[in-house]
Amino acid sequence: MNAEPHSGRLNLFACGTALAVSFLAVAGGFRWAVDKQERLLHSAAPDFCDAKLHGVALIREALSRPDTLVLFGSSELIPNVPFKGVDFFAEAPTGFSIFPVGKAGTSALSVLQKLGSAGTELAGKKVVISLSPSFFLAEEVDSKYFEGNSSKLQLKELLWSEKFSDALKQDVARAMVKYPKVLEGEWILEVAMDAVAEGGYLNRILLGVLKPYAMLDLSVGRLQDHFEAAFALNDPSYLPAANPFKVKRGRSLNWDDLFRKAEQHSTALAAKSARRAPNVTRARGTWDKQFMASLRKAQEWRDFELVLRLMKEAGAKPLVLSMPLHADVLEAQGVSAVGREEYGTRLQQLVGKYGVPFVYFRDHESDPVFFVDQHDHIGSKGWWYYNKVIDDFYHDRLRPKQVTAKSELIP
Amino acid sequence: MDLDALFAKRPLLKRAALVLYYLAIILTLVLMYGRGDFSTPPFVYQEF
Repeated sequence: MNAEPHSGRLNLFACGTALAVSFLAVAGGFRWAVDKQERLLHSAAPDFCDAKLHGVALIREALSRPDTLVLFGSSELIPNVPFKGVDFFAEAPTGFSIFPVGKAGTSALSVLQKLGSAGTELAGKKVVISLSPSFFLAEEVDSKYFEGNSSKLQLKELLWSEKFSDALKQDVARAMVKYPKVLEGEWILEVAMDAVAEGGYLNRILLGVLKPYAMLDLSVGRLQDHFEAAFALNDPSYLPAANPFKVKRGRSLNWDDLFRKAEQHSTALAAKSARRAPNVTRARGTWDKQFMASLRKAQEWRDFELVLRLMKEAGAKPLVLSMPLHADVLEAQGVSAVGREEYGTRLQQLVGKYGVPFVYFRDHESDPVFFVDQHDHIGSKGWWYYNKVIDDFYHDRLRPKQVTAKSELIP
Repeated sequence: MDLDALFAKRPLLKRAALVLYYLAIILTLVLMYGRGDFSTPPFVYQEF
């Protein structure tokens, strides 16, 4: 009988000691993980691992650095072509490097959750958003694109962030609840997302009740994210290079010379691939009306406006780039220049509403070597234009004319 | 070997074994539920 209290105290002591040791191990591990992210961030820039695309720690780390510019894009970030932004700026030739975030199918809604998850880290930060016109050409983006790019952790960060207004969060939630698959398996996220989307007094009370648990859940998620990022960076391929990342200051590049090289690369590749002309299915201009009607109804406009609203509320300094449409492909489908003009006009109106600098490479829609294929994947020449504009943006050299036309950039 | 007799003779060993026992429980829980999950519904991008 007397042994029980003693045994209870002993167990309490052992459990307490084990918890304290575990806490110290987690704290040490957390420090190790953060140190790894700080040291190896630039080595991870060209990679597209889950920890980078679906996590938060690496995106926030990149945003926190003055020598790193985060570029949100889609499948154009993937093909390995000479002059690709991440490689071109890898050694920070003019004082900064690029941290691309995005993969195939990263539509505006995916960019929205990634940006939203960065929350306070966006304030005053320059970010670049590269748009793929094809997302705006269909009334609805394939739901699998957002599902395949979704991240529960990023959604939780956005949902519980105090940086954004209730009105914005409600509109975001209304857009997200259309994709129940991305919320599956996380009851707290499902309930909270529905409550935010519906709004109202009772739902506000429900959110207040859920919040303490949700914040605890989010803290565990953040911790896991730091560890996952560090484990991903633990790969031997991320070992610090012999010449560690060192920013070069005050250097300017010979853009004319680089342009010639980029064009040579693109021309040589085009000659090798011998791209076939698209099959003509309709006479010129016969599909303009239908094209414009479909374009106007595209859900991507609403989603992209949410991105612009979010960046405005976060105090970010974005630059929006859009690659041109494929004139030859659309001409063959019966869409003339009149129909194609609608895309640039609408985009300019929308972006202009938020006072965001915007560069649309419209005059390259018939350039046979701007792209690397007949999708929204730019080649070396296209990347030269992107790199030049991005460099000017980073160094505050974007001129008003440059913001709407490409002609200023031609050497 | 009789563990009770051993622990009765060496109380410090008993404490250490208990701490290790609780650490093993915590470690098992971390291994079971601790990993971050970035899995997404699958999709196949057709445009490459």
